[in-house]
Amino acid sequence: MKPVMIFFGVICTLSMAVPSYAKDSADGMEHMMMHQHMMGENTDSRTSLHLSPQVKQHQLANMRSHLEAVRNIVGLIAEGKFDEASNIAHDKLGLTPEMKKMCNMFGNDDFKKLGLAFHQSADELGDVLKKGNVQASLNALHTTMNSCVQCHATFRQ
Amino acid sequence: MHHENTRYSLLLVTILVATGYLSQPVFAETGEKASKASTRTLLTVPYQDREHLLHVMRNNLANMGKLINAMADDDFKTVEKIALKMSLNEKKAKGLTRRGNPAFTAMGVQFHGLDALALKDAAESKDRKRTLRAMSKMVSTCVACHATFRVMEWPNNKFYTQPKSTPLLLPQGVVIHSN
Repeated sequence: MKPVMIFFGVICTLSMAVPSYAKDSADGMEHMMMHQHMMGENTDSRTSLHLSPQVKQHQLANMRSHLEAVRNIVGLIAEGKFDEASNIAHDKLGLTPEMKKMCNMFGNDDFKKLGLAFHQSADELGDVLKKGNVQASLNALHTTMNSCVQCHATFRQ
Repeated sequence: MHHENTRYSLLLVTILVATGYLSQPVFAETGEKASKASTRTLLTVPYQDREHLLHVMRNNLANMGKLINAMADDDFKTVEKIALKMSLNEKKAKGLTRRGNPAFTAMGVQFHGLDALALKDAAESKDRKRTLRAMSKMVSTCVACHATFRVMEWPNNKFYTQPKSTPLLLPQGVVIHSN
């Protein structure tokens, strides 16, 4: 009788210990991932801008609006509607007072420079579009998009 | 008596601010507002998967820049090559399904399976207007996907386990390339 009781005792102890170990192991994995994330050990070596959640959301919304503007500009170039494309370049991508203010509030000088260069290049794109030349317009759009590519490759929120 | 009350109130506020009792609800409220502001669907994927998805999108952006550059020179051959590279293959198909959201998978199929190949076909025809239209259509899918989904969670990002893969439903005529 005694060995049977000891056996059940061992089984009960193990059955309680195993889920507890599994939980610890899962927590450990999450902790490790968090640690890797915090230590920047993942592949992302881009510079963090350390933005607040609100600024992050605002910036993401702006970037979605930029993407939409690029889509519209390409479509309008295809249709030969250069004046409309020019207006979009100036209004949605250009260095408006609001965008200038936004760029200047960032603490990272390199990001600030890149942001201002992006918006200035968009105003130049708007001027080129006015002239109605497809190839020159696409070249100018490529210059503007280079800023997007460079910025996304260098910075993270 | 009045002075004592004022002094007590100031002391209480100082203690509450110092211990974070007053700042915490403010942060919680702004965090809540921030999450309400975004109505996009969150893809609950593990951290590494999310980073990979962002990396893929940066590549797509770079490819879009190259496509526009090629079109500036009427270099349709390069457009064809890039479009083929962006079209649906085994790796991309797995990447789409493993994010666990059928609508996201469908948008990915639209982008890689339909738009990229339409762009390739348009470039083959060497028709500038058709190619630029196809390019604009392709970016429309980017715009729609970015307007619908998000991978970041506010105010703090959480960790998720890998979701169950979705089935890959391909429209008629869409094939998985071996590119």
